[in-house]
Amino acid sequence: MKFPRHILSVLVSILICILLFWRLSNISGSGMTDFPNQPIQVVVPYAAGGGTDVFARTLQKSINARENLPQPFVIINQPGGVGTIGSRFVYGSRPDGYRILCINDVVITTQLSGTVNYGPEDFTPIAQTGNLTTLVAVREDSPFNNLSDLLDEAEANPKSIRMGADVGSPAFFNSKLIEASRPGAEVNYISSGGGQKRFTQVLGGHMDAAIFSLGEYNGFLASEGTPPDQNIKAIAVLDGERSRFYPDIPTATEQGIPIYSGNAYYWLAPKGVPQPVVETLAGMFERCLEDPVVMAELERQSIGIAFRKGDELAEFLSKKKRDLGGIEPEQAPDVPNFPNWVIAIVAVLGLSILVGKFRKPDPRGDRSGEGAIALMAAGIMVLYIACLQLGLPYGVVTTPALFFIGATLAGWQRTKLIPIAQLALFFGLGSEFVFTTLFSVPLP
Amino acid sequence: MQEAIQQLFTPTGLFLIVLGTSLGIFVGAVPGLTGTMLIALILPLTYGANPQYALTLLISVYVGAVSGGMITSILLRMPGTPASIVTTFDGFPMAQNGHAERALGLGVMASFFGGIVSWGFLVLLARPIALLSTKFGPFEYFSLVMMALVLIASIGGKSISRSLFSGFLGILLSMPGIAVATGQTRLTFGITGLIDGFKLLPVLIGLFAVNQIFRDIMDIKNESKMEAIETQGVALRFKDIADHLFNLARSSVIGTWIGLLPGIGANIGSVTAYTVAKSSSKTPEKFGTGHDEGVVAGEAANNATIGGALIPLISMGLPGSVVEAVLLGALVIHGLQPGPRLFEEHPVMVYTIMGAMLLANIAMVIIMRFSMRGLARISKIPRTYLLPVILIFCVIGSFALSNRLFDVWVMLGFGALGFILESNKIPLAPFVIGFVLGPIAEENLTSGLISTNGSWLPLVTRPIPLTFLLVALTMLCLPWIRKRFAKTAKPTAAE
Repeated sequence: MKFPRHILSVLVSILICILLFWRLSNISGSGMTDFPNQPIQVVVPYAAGGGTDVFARTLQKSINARENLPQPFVIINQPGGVGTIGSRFVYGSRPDGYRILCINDVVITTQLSGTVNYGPEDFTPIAQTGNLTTLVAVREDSPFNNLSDLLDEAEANPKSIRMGADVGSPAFFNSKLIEASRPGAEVNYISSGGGQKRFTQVLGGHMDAAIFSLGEYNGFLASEGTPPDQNIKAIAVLDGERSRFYPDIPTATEQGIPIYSGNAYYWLAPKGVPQPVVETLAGMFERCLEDPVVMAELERQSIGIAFRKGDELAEFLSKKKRDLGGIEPEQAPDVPNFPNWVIAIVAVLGLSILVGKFRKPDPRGDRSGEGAIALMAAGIMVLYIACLQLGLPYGVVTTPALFFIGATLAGWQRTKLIPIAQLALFFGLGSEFVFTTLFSVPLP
Repeated sequence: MQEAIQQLFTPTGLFLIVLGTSLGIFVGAVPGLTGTMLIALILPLTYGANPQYALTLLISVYVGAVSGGMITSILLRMPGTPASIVTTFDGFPMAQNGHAERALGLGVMASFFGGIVSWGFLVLLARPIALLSTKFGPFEYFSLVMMALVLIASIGGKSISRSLFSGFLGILLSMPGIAVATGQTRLTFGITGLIDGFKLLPVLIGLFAVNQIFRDIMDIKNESKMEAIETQGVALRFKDIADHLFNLARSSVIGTWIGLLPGIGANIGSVTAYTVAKSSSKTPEKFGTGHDEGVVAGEAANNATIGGALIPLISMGLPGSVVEAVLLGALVIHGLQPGPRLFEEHPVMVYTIMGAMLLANIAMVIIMRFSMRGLARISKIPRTYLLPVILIFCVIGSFALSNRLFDVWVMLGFGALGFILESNKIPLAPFVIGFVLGPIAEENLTSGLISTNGSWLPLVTRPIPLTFLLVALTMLCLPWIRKRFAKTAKPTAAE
């Protein structure tokens, strides 16, 4: 390349020394005994930028700025499985208070709908720090002006009302409560995944009504003068009291259907975290809600201020679970079994290829390469990931993995071993530095 | 508008555009790392920043990442990002024939063209186009996706049955986990990690990057052959634009339209444009052997999806892909509630997004132009050093998606699957189409069937679904019709 080789080599060696120094100084730094003596990981079971993530980061920022903790709060996003990938991760974690979960009512509804076999009672509740109002909305020119209009129609023509609420979500359970308030009414639930999609579906007349969070509703509501078929209107607030933003819209409770809370944000720890640690954490969250910066942020995100902790929170969660759990579970909808169709097609096509191959074998010879080296490298990779799985530190495992793969590829030629070792040290430690320090990604 | 322009042209604004685009090109080019990941990582860092600067940086990363993917696609046959999968089909053979710089030049030119065309759509038609999306209910989406799904039959290699097998295998492997439309968990075999199914990113990294790495390892003794790739020829030529004008325009429009549709995104945009270019070309047999038209179609389309996807994002608050969902989050974090009112209430932000996209495209061309010669050298780095590092990048990229090792295992598993499939001459592109579109088709069909209480009739009674299905049917039959004609001339070919 451009540099003479030995200069490059010296530069890399210097960098390696700096990185080694950084790595070693990190090990000796964590000798304290008071909580927290290592970073507190907050698992957000949704993608970066989602509602729960934005909420968690608002509080994280305030805590890191005010509390003067020796170790920071870090956020880990584990999206997927309606929040169950993240919740299961925390559920199975060591109960030491260093890994906690920020989640909403999904922690109740995924248990009720059978997605997972644990619920809020299987965690140590730390605090509830926010309240999410949800609303039932229809298109502005819709004939339905309140919940009872909607239920009249659902009773007169069962299954004709198409309600946008993802099966198994808190919104779905709330609409089941609405449906159950009128015996004989049957509502057809349509899953669409995401408030934005529901919004376009309502506008396009593909859904008759849908549930939105207050924040979504604020964003979707068009300005005055928009044609009624391009705008939405709320017909009920799913909360204990009317929304400050829309004081004209009655609550479901006022309309005779007692729903006191649309959704809320909770901080949960694995079962068995020592009480003093729970108290410390709950105190931090409580002080957050007194921080004017946080208050202003939450106002902007349309999140209500609410705080519960300890026994009060445990009681709140179990009451909510009782309310929602009283509903008949939804029958699996009667739709064709697509997986079986696809399995059958794949099997038929696979067989036909096998038969064709049998009839005229391939005259190919590109397997003659170095299969053994590739197998060795694959073996090292499997071993490497297994080591990470066992919880060995990233840098400590990655560096030798890199070295052994490189050396295998080079056929253990002596002259290449030193540059490979340099590369392994440089890249193994360097990537650890970049990801943990610059991006605060918790590497394996 | 003036305020937005002034902000963009401050030294900080320009610096962020260059920084974002360069970072984007870098992560785009490294197999395993993607723009989505970088944007998700940068987002928290922009938390306290001025929202205009934050969006400028994020949009630049987005543009850079989609463009950067071509580099490793062309030089190493490892798509740096999933959106550049089709670029490997013709770009890599071109590089092997000694025209690496030419392939890169064509790709950069096409990317720029696609970016600018979709930018034009974004600026002129954002609002009217976005309103169209409300016309689309579940059946409309289903039939639309079917139109793209039939590409499975035409994109792959010579054997239609192998392409179909690959496509349906892709659909099958997309099924484990929670079915969106019904909320039921299926095909997880009790493995709790599978509750969210196989995620797209580790699957694609495995199929393409890991698979190719092990292929290269098997070939490592012949490294001298690899290093012998010489670069020659002029890189960026204006004549190319004139030569490929029709292909460029068509691919850009296809890309923009596909970007517009939620959930489909850049991967399918480039595949569709490539297939259309191939089937309407005078010389379809040249595709896959290092043909200019193939590189141009794919790269124009994948950059065009950006402008397309930004249209519903800024006019309706509808994210079209994972990247847009993160950008949406960025707007929310900075106190801007996206939706129909964003235009009226925060015009500065809207113009900032538009301006940043334009400037990032220009920055991309300039950066690529001046680094092209250096970039072409990537293929000369000895594989012994390059491959282990890329493997680790793949591990990090898969892990950072959900911060769990399960996805890393998935990546390795799909690497093995890709290796086996390719060794048996089963093409991988149909697999990707099936894997991406299968769930969207199924989800919409199921939702539609639930909303009609089981009736399939709207598929043929509503005008939009009927039209799409007829087009799909025609596209499906076209190869057969063509073959019939060919057979009357020379009745020998089998299947």
